[in-house]
Amino acid sequence: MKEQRYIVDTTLRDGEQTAGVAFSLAEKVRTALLLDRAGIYQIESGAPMIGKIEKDTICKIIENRVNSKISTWNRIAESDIRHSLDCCPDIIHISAPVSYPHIYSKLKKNKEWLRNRLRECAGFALEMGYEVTIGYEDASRADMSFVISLTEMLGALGVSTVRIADTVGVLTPSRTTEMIREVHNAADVRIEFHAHNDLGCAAANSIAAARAGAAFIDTTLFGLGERAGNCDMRTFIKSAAQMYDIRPSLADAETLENELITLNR
Amino acid sequence: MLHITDVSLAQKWAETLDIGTRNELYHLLLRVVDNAETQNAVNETIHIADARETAQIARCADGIRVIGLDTLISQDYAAVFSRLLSKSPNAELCPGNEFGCAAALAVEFVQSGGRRIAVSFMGLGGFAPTEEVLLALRVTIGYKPGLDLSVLAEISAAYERAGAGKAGERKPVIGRKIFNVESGIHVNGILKNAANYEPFSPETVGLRRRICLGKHSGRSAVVYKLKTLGKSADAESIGRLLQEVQAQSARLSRGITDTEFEGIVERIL
Repeated sequence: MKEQRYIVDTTLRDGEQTAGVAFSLAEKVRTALLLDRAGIYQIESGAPMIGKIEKDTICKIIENRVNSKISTWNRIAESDIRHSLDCCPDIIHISAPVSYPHIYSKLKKNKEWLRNRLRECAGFALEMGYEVTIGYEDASRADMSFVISLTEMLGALGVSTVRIADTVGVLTPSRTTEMIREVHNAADVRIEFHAHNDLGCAAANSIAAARAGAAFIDTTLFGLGERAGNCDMRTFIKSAAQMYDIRPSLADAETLENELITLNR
Repeated sequence: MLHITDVSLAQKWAETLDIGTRNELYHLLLRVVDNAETQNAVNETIHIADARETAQIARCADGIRVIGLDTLISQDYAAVFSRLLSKSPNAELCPGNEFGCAAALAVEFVQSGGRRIAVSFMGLGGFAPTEEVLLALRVTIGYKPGLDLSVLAEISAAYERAGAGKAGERKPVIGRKIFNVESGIHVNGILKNAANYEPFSPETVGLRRRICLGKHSGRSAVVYKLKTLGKSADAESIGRLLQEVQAQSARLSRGITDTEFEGIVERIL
């Protein structure tokens, strides 16, 4: 029997972040319905802190769900998480920049600050009774010993899954394999992988991650996403379906995209 | 419709690995466009679909060209490469792109010690896109750091003019819009240090960054855009401008143009 792998679709979050792309409430709700029907494991539905319309949209998506788990995206800020709580999602995802350039030059903080803040935020969402997944933003340029020590801390806290994000799309398959294995061995948490396609390697890296033990792979419809996009769902499924028990099937993913094109015409 | 044969490009690419100047690269790739229809197959080409066949190939003479292996990413590609290269150190790999993994395989082949890879500009013909492989080698192993890759945008335009193919707006490395950025976190990070959210600078590949306004904009982008209009505003007004930008973008289901932003500024400030 084939091993299982699961799709986390981020069309409605990272996909919508593409410059110039904005979905209306109706478009997001409709897209989520189609994703749910196609059997997507998890739908990253958006970031409640953006504002009222986004929140209403996410609430509607949650109300409609049948098969999929619905997650919301948060920065490492308790205020963001409180906005998520208003929506009662299935999963609260908290994104933490972990590379030194991001911690020191973007946030202008330090490693200790990040570790404490992450512990507080993850702890808060867990106390509220939610499944919590943590995203390591810019993990591909991070110091792996730092990433591993964070993973040990989060595993002990009760975080179910950590997401390794290749935020600027600089990984290759062999480097992806090494990273996934290192983090996987660090603690008893499940691994999710989030690729970007800057060097045209998103699908290959995602396959490498799945082979190295990542149970969850992030994809978007039409490969939407920042810059050259995220991992395209169909391209990933085309390879992955040969090795893994994974939903949707390639045919269902194609139908899904075609339906969206027709609906939004 | 221009048809570019795999073999011709394989041959040309082998040459590009040894050249170092912008002009040479430019002319070489353009020559491929011009001559594509008249290219003839060269000898010693083996089309291959199954990685197991590489053992057989390795027994052949050195300098063999392997074309295909589209599904290799799902197998132990490192072992396949090392077996091939141990027998045939000058083997040339031209990975097929049926599964969208050819660029990554070409890069892995080089990192495994392979010296010759065959690729095609924009992936025409179903191979690894030249531009992706060049940037991937630059970013991951610092390959030919002096090579001026800003010519890639011009080559892309020349291919389009020649009817050879058009790069999508989001095509890695050469897409017209890959350096457009809108989301608040990204704009803020880029204004502090572009490397925060860019794997290489737009100028490297002859493109430009554009800060765009829309539903996902944050305050930094509004401040930045105001500045380009020679204006500034207090925190409260920036908040109101941002709200209007976001609302209008959500209503229109697209980003806000610079002209539309000027209109918003005139109404609100």
